[in-house]
Amino acid sequence: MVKLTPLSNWLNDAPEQIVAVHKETRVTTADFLNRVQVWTDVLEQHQDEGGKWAVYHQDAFEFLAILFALWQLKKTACVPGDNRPGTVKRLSSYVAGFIGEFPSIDTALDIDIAMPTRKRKWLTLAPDFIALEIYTSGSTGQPKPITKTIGQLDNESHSLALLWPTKPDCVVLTTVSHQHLYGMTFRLFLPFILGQAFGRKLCNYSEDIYYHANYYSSFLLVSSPSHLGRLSSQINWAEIGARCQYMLSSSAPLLRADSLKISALWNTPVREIYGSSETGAIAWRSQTKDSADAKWQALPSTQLSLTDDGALQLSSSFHGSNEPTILPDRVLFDDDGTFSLLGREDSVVKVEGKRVSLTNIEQLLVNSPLIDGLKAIVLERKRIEVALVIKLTAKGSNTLNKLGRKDLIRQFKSSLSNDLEAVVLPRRWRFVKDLPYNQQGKLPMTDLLALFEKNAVNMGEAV
Amino acid sequence: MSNLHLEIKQMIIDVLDLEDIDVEDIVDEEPLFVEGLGLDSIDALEIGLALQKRYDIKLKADSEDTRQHFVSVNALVTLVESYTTK
Repeated sequence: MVKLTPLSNWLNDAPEQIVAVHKETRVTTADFLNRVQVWTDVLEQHQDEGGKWAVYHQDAFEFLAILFALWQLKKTACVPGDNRPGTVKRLSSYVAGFIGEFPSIDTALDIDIAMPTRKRKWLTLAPDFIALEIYTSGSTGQPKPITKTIGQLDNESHSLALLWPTKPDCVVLTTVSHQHLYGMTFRLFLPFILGQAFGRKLCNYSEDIYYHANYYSSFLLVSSPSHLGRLSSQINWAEIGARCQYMLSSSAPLLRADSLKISALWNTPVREIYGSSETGAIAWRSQTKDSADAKWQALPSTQLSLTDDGALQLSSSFHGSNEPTILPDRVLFDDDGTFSLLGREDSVVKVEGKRVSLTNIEQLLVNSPLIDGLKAIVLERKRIEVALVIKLTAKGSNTLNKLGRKDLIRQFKSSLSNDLEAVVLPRRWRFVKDLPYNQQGKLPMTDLLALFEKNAVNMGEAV
Repeated sequence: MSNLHLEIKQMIIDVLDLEDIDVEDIVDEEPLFVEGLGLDSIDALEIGLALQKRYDIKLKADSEDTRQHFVSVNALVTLVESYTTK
């Protein structure tokens, strides 16, 4: 059994290990302690400013060092999914400061090369210390803060480490950001406490994965359906597949066909994780050739059941409450306790793995003087995308006639891009004379979808 | 606009299933990602796959290098030309 070093006491235990790698360069425990010291020195000058700091850094090694520095000063790390102006603005009334890569904030703390001022004595963190605050799309439309204690993070990694033991020399490569919980858990915390090195940078393309994997004798890949469904077939994956311990996919269900294709190309297991920012990892599955769509099974130390009215409820040592959590996903249980996912019950959707609230998108536009009413929906075409049906005001109709569709859409998109990542920006727009409410006052999905079956006309279609 | 410029713009519109964008709307030297056309990381993956399929281009295994090629239509044209004239 591999020794696990919990996050709560990692700095004191400081096991000798390679912490992170990038191509042939590697950073060790000594380098890591050094960086935590430096970041702590910088932060200490702001000790009295309060308990919450926003963190963004694309280098996973620096990101982790910042988290540990904040924790040593008993500050909670607020981790947004991106560093866009809208996100920074939303956080600025809320956090004491910004640390890392925030180009739009002059006062954000960042450091280049610096030496620690003195050797520190490290604190052991209490299990109930609130280490993280992350944000996710809630059904109300407002980003919802979710807190995680150090105990929760340690328990989750512990439970996952027991499920899939791997060798310490296995390097963790990834195509997903550590600014979201899935990436943070699987590409940072888990390898870190297991003594495995993690890649500092993201692999953006198939070629990156191939290139970086070639540096290491053993690796595993933490990825998502958006990438795994688009792997280049021109690369000799079998060559690196032999060194791949396993592949992980999460953030949305991976198509069975994609899963089987990759697992054949790489000759390596493809494991999917089902989870959420609120609960952490919940269940997993792996497709096999000989059976139908694989069912999900709960992770060890996670208990799942259905409430009387059919909702999924969960208890685990790391989901953060003594009360069971009710999940907004609809599921179908088999007799053996495995289950299928049937979809969500609220207006929160996954667009190419990114969770987004359609209500939020509507709220971002509804106060525009050009818009009278609107409805956001999700379309599954070549990719999964957001589409909008908009009823313009008289002023909006005039603007449409004056500017034309393209310019008006560009204007709306540019305002949305302050708050939304490009992946979830609406890609299809319909301007209608009236939203197709039925007699019950509802907007039937079939009527909304029908609007996108035909191409948009050039000026204002029904306006 | 050269034929290759036109061809690549049409390829982008087709593979990305773009609406409200015609070849004339894509400016040769404007950024394709974030600003300009506003494409995202998934579009980049799709363009990469389309280049391989259509022009048999193998991208170098270096994100920075790939990013340079994907900056604009002009950069993509240069990339394709460097392959087709080899």
